[in-house]
Parts: sequence; structure tokens; C-alpha cells
Amino acid sequence: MSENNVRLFQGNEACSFGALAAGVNFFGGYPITPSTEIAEILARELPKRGGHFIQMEDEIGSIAAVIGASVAGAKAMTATSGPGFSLMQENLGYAFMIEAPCVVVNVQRGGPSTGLPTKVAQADTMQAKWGSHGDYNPIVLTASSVEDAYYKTIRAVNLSEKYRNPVILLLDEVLGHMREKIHIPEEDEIKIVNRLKPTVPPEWYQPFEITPTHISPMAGYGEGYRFHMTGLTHDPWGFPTAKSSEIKEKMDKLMLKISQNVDDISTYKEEFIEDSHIIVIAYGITARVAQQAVRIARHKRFKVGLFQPETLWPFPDKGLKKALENANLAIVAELNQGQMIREVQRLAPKKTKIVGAFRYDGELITPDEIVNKIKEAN
Amino acid sequence: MAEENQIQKVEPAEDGEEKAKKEKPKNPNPIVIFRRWCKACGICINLCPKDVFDADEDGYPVVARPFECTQCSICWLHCPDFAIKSTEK
Amino acid sequence: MAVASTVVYEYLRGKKKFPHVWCPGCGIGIIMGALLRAMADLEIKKGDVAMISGIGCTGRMPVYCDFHTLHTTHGRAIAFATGIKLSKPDLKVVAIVGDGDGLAIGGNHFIHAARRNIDITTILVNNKIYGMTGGQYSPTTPTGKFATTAPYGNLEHPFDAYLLAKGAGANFFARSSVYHATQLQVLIKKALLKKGFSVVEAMSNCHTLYGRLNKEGSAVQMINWFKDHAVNVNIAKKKTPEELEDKFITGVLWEDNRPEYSEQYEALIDRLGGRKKEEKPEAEVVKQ
Repeated sequence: MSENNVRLFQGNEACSFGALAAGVNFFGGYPITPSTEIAEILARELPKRGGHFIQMEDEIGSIAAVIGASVAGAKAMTATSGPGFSLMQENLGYAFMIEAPCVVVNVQRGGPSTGLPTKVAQADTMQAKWGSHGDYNPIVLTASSVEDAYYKTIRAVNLSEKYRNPVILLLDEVLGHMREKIHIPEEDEIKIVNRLKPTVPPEWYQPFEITPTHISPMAGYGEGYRFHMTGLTHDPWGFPTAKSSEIKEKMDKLMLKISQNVDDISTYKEEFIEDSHIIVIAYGITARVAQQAVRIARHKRFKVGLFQPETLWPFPDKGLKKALENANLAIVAELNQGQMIREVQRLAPKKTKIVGAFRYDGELITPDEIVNKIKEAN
Repeated sequence: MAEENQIQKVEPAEDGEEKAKKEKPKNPNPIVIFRRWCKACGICINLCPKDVFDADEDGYPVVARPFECTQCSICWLHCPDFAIKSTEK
Repeated sequence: MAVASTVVYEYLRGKKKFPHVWCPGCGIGIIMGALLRAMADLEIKKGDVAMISGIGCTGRMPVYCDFHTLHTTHGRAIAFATGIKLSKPDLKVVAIVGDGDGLAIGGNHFIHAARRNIDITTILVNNKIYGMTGGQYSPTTPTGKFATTAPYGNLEHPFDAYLLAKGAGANFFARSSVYHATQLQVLIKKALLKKGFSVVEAMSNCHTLYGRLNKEGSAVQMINWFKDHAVNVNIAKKKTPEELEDKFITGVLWEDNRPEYSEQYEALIDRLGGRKKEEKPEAEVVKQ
């Protein structure tokens, strides 16, 4: 790694260049604080690399254009924040239904509604999972540092291509605007995943073919395969169906292609778990704070460890269960009034006391606040 | 753009009756109606300037006066169900 | 117009999809026929066409057409089409929208695609009502007409898609009706040839709902209404507004030659030296 590749980047910049490194060649977006820099950078960089950028008339149009480009064969992405993310939900559901790979970056800000455009929150945790109607299985990644934002964007694009599924990357206002040192890897150091392409003769091609992995090859437009896709529940050929057997098959496919591969998708980080009976659980920027809090607390002789989900959905169930095996106290730190804590409640053993360290006033939680929670609850 | 546009001819299934008619060496009937696709909307019967069609008891068109047909195309251009085919055009 | 009656079958998708879902006598089938014949006329290959629709009766059209087809969410067809056209500029992109779909919920996308002047041929099927949901009034339902959500007559005012498209900057706007199937075919052909955002408004009949609620009769009667109330744009110029009171104007209503968006974008890529793109080989992992 040469020193020339060291940059001082904002989280949003890192995300943009991560996307380019991952091969994103289409971006459809709409300006919204605090994600706008991503659109600005990609508007500048994409045409230089033969890619396409478009500023649509709203977020509904942005995600629509992104899905359209993805179906046509591009690696497509959009970036937004809370209000825009809400607007995208219907078409995001469509993307899940037609299994269109795409990446939606949500640089979270305070809500509900217009909320706090320039202040931080992690209140879209649950929306990222349940935002659109119907049963679907999203992949949601998080990042906790500027460098992490770079690599997580690459991973988001790769996962979306691999599983033919939309991937949501949850950043937040602080991370998006924070500047840190970042090492940009060489091009050949980055692993790129491309979607599976069909190899069958065109007349046999089923865009939603039932396969053992539940992942169907996807042809782009103008590549010799003509096919139909619809948001209506469909058969493997992509045509609307009302047969209950085919409906079930489709719905199972949507779930299983993700849930069968949780071990590949869901990652987490741990610190000092082995000897700890107090576990702090936090993701994203809050995990950075929690890291510091854990160090302070350990200095004060508390046996504290950190569990940081890097993939929020599907939630790293196994990892957290294991981390909480010997815990009698779990502190869940998040910038909302208690969303991820539900997952901890679901997974923690009965003996574990679960305490929330929430902050939702537009500011970051501080290490001291977490340490105080540990002191109070212990 | 890939060169894959081999055009597959997809033609609607014909009823046995129409098939039989077709097999005759000289078919005076200039118009074929695919009964299976037809929904008996009556558009062809009413728009035909030469009154070639009659409705059967279910309202489906039958070619009653084939020799009146001038091949004006109005019937098949206006058939919403793609159920009419001209044998000459 | 030398297209044979059988040519449409080359563009239709499989026998098992027919008969289609539309009501007996529904004009959408006629419009689809005109579109396919226009394609055949221009000898457009099936693999070069992307057909995108929204939700509603009109939205079902792509199922039956053997192109790259995408049946999207309500009102968003043009936005999806924008993404497709921009990322694959060589494709002929056709958006099929209805009056509610394209002008109410999708009005914003319609306006901005026109403003951007991106090369999408939009077929606007105007039957003055929401058909699939059961006959609610749409942005083109005339004042005073009845709909299931206008049981005392529509209080709202309809708008003219022509003025909207023209005002927003479309390159082409034409109107015809299902009675004028041949004219419709010619106009669609012109629209397909025209670079930029082009719209063909096809007046269609919804006798099942609009016709029944407003006592306008059967499919045949409604189609004949179009015959009696259509005025060609050249003749309309010589008529007074009073004479055109209950008429609709057909033909090419608007044509312009503003630069097209995706072409300009491709030129931008060239200008920035962005066109190289040989695939680089897959390398090993460093970090994910």
C-alpha cells in the first residue's frame, strides 16, 4: 500500500469512491441532506468512467431509475436520507420482488418527518428491515468509520450482485460528514462480484428460475434474452400467477436466498468478549463511541466487552447469542428510543439484564454516558 | 445489440372448423376468425362497411358474406383481441 | 401501411397468454395492435425494444408483447424507463401509461421526462377513468361526468396532456383514437422515429365503466363517438373554439427538435474521455 493512496475523506466521499471501486456505473439520486455529497461526487466521477448519473425529480423516481438501470444490466446505486428513504419504500419493495440488485445508501438523520436534517440518528434501523409492505428479506449493512464506509459500500454492491437482492447501507450524518484518514486500496486488491448471467438458450431462460441456491441468473436488456418482470407475484417465467403453489415457491425463494446464507452475509466485530459478563452492543458510529466506553470501563476494572453487528439485517443471531452466553448485563447503545434492543431482547438468555443507552436529541452518545449506564446497572 | 432476434411465429390456435376450411383448395373466405381469442365485442360486425359479418346466437362474428369483402382491413385493425386474420393481407 | 394482418403475431408472446385480460371491446387491444404494426413497419427487432408500463389496465400490455418488458409500480413507468434508456441508450424504449397512471400519480415523472427530453416513446392511453380499480374519476375525466367517486358528477377540471407535454418540453405530441387505428399506427411510427420525449395520446373507450356510468353505450357506440368527434389538427385550425367545444383534435399537435438527453450524456462521456471499458480480470480479496 503506497502512501499516495492515503486520503483525508468524508464518510460520504469514501462511500462514493467505494461505489466506483465496486463497479457502480449508474447512480440515480435526488438531493437530500446529509447524503448529497455522494450524488455530487458521482455526478462528477461517473461520466469520466463511462458511467451514468442522473438527478431525478424525486426519490421515487431515483429508485425507479436505479432499478430500471439494474434490470438493463448496470450496477446501480442511490443515496438518500430518512424522508427520501421513506419515499423509496414502494419501489424498494418492487426491487425485492423482481430481485433487482441495487444499493440504497441511507445516511441517517433525525426523524420522524423532516426531523433533523443536519443531526445524527440511527432511527431507521427498523425501517430498513420493515419499510416496504409485504414479506421480504433485506440485506442491511452498517459502517462505523470512514474507511469502513468505503469497504462496506464495496461489500454492499458485491452482496447485491451475488444474491440478486437490494442492499441497504445505513450510514449516519456524523459518519457521512466526518473526515478521517483512509487508505485507498489498489484496484487489484478489491474483489468484485458480478451477477450470475444465464447460459441457457434464450427460449429456455426463466428470469426467476428455481435453483438450489434460490438465486436465479439475471440477463440484462439487449443481451439476447427477452423476458418479463412484474411486481405482481409471478412464476419463474416472470408472469403473474395466482396459483398458490407458485406463490409459495416465490415467497420462499425471496426469504431463503438470504436466510440460507446468513453466515456469509451477517458479520460482526467483537472486543473483549471472552472474559466479560457485561456486553455493550452498538452499531455504526455508536460502536465507535462504545469502543471507547468499553476501554474506559475496563480501565475501571469492569469486565466489559463490545459486540458490534456489521450486518444489521439479517441480524447476526448466532454471534450475539454466543457473545451473551456468559453475560449478565447487556447495554444496547443506539441513537433512537430503542430499536435494535428488540433484537437483543429476542436473543439474550433469560438471566441477562438488558439496558438501553439511548440518545435521540440529535447528538452523539458519549463514552461517559455508556460508562455511567454500566456503573448504574451493574 | 446482440443478434438474437430470431422471430418465432406465434399464431393462435385455430378451431377445427376453420382448419378444415383452410385445407380446401380455393378458399373464398378472405377473413379468418379465431373463435378462442374472440370475446364477441361486436366491433368487427359493426365497423365493417360491407356488412360481411353476422353474429351467431352467442354474439360471435361469423363471415356470412365473404364475397362482399373488399380487404379494407378495418375489421382486423380494430379487433382488440387479435382474433381476426386476413388470408390475403 | 403495407403491414399484413398476421405481422402482429410475430410480436406476441405465446399462445397461453391469450385471450388477454381486457374486457371485450376494450380499446387497449387496438392500441397495442397499432403499436406492434408500427414496430413491424419500421422493422424494429424485438430484442432492441424495452417496453415499460405502470399499473392499471394499460399496465398489462407488456405481458403480451415479446420485448424486454417491465411491469412496474403505479405511475413510475417513465422513471424506470429513464433509467433503462440512460444506461442502455441503444434500446428503443417505449413507456405505456394510462391517464391516471401517467398523469396523476405519475404526473411528475411525465413532466420531467419531457423536460429532460429523454428518448422515450410514451403511449398515453386515455380512457378518462381508472378502469382496473372500478371506475374512479381521473385527471382527464371531463367536468360533470360521472365516476364511482364522482357520483354527483365530477367537480374537478380535466387537463390536456398536449399542453402539459408541450409546456414541459417534449419533442413530439400526437393524438388519435381507437377508431382511427391506421392514423394511430402512423402517429406511433412517427413518435418512434422522433428523437426525444415523444407522446402519442390514444383516446380509448372504457365502455365497461365510463360508458356505463355516463350512458355512452357499448364499445361500438363509444368507438363511433370517437369517429364523430375527432377533428384533424389542420381542419381544427380553421374552426372556432365554439365549433370545437365537444371535439378532440387528432394528428401531430406538437413537434420540436430540442437536443435529446441520453445522446447528450453520451457526448459528455466522450468529451470526458470516459469511454474505454475493457473488463478487468477478477482479483483476489483483500478486505470486504
